[in-house]
Amino acid sequence: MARSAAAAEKGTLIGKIFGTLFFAFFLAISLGMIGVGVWQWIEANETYSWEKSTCKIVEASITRPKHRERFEFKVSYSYDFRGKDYTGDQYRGNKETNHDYTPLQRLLLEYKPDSQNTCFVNPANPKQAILAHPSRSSLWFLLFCLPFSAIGLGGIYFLWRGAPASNLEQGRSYSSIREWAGGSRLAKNGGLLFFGIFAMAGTAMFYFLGLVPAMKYLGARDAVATPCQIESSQVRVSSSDNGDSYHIDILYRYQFGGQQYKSNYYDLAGGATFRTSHSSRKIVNQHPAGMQTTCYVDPNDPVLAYLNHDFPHGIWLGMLFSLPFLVVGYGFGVFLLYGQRATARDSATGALYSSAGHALTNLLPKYRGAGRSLTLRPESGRLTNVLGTLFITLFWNGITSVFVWHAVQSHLEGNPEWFLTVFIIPFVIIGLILVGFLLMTCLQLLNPRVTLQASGDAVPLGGTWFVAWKVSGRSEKVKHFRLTLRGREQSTYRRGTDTVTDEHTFAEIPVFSSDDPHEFGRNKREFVIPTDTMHSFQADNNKVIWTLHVAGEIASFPDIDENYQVVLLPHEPTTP
Amino acid sequence: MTDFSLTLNEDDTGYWPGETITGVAEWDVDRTVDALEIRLIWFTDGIGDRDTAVVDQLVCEQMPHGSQRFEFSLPRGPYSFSGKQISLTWAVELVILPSEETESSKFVLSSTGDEVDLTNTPYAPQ
Repeated sequence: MARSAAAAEKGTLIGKIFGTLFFAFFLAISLGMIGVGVWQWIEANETYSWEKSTCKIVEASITRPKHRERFEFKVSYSYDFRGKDYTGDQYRGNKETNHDYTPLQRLLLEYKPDSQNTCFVNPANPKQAILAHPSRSSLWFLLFCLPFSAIGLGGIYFLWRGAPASNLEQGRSYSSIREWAGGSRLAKNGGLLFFGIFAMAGTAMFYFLGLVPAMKYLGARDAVATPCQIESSQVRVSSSDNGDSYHIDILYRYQFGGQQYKSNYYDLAGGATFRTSHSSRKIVNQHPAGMQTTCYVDPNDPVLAYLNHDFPHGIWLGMLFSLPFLVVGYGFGVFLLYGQRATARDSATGALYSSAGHALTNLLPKYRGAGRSLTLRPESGRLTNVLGTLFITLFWNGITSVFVWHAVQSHLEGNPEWFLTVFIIPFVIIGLILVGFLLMTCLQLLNPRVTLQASGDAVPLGGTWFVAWKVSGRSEKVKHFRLTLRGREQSTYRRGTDTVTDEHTFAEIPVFSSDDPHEFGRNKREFVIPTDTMHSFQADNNKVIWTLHVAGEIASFPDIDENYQVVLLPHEPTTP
Repeated sequence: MTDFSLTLNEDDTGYWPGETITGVAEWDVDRTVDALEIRLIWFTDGIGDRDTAVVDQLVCEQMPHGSQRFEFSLPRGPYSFSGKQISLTWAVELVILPSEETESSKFVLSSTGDEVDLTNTPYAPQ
């Protein structure tokens, strides 16, 4: 029997322990976040039962304390509650701060001194009042965290639930087969959840880093050029695990429609600036405090203004950054969905067998015909290889180049980021290997073409198969030409969150071999398929695949190496 | 105490495609069960995740004890085989539901009546 079942068990326990630690970490972090979210929601929800009252704004202003990065909205108001006068200074219960001036300016316009507004008073403690309810959006945050908890919990569950395949060999109840099949479906659902999160993250990044600034740009085309004066100018640095990011923070004031406004929006890119320290400082130096310049004001919403309303090219980087998440999330999600449908189809196998008794078709690869002349198709075309490799190469090097660019800039600016530089080297090497591989697949486009004609792409074991071929193009460059019928086993299994496919070639049956271009340039062979081997077989996770392998050795050039899938059918029914 | 068994009529466990496999299932169940099923199945083993199919089945309704003769016509494939990575096994099983306690008998389905051995073949790569 298959020896590798024992190999699969080897090291399973260590893998499970590491897997458990990984998923437990996931679970603990998400549960902690859920706890914080619930606590915030409960706190916010309490204020919704407070009583409404009328208050009079005494004072409102926006300040930015020295050496602080955030602006702060400060307000004070007086109110009457059940015949007693009180004063308050809370907007939503906590300090109302923001890196951007504009959202706070909207509050300033809403809560003008001496204006009458609604406030909410805590009946249990009338000294406590707020002008607006805190956000209950932490409920959405819970929805965001729940899939992470499900991954953590599900991961641990599936790690410890399964039994080694060989248990069945040792006489374990066959009912486990059903459990395993069910487990596989659940694992796929877990995978869908996992990649769904990737897709959601990619969509959110694409929306906020790409679409939102692009829509702002379209909306700002009617912006009115307005004189403005720079009040302060600085580069704001945010540090995170991924390194420092630089934000242009230029505060300027302008008048529009008789009203004075301030803003610190530089351009339309928002978060998608992707600027280096050097370029950010250059812009800041071009806008010193006290300078008179022009800003662009949205006439429909004069609170919105920008110093630069050109198309923000950082949008492209923002979209590029979201691309891997979109491709991985949606790509694997669709793949899993397709896989689930295939599983659903295969679960009906029993019905097919019980009704027909001999239905084998859904356990064989698709084929076009047996016993009729047709041109065989390669498993993977040359152009497909080039396009596939091109996509992977662009994808990999596109992502890598962002970090390479960042590292190179840091060296040019005399402030080298050595950790990033060393960290990125293996990724660059892989990128170069991909480029080399791409070149090789491109060169293979120039290889001689082999056209194979056969008496069908399916033939029963013990049957006679006829194959004719023609080598066109630079066939004289081919030193040695070989046709081989190859049989291989292919197994797919899940290892943690990865899906791994292993292959083993069990048969190589020579069909033709020659060094003479006149002989192999155009020829044909008729041969009998062995009877004592396994027919093609294709289930969800295990396959027996037969191919006609064409190999042509070319000196100092990529070789011809192509596989044409053929289907070996079970023996023709005979009376024993 | 639950007692159940499944016996194939032929001593030889090798079968050809299209042949009929016959046997008898017997049971004596000491508790309430939903049903008993006799199933014709195949399953894979090896490094890949398991594939399995229930090809045909009979539902037995005599409770709490009884016996049932069964007869399944075997399909053209897949053949029983054993390779370096995958093996495929055929079996008839008696399953008690809902507990899914099982008794089974394995057999070989192929054109020769012997399992196709991919580990010891004259066509192995040199």
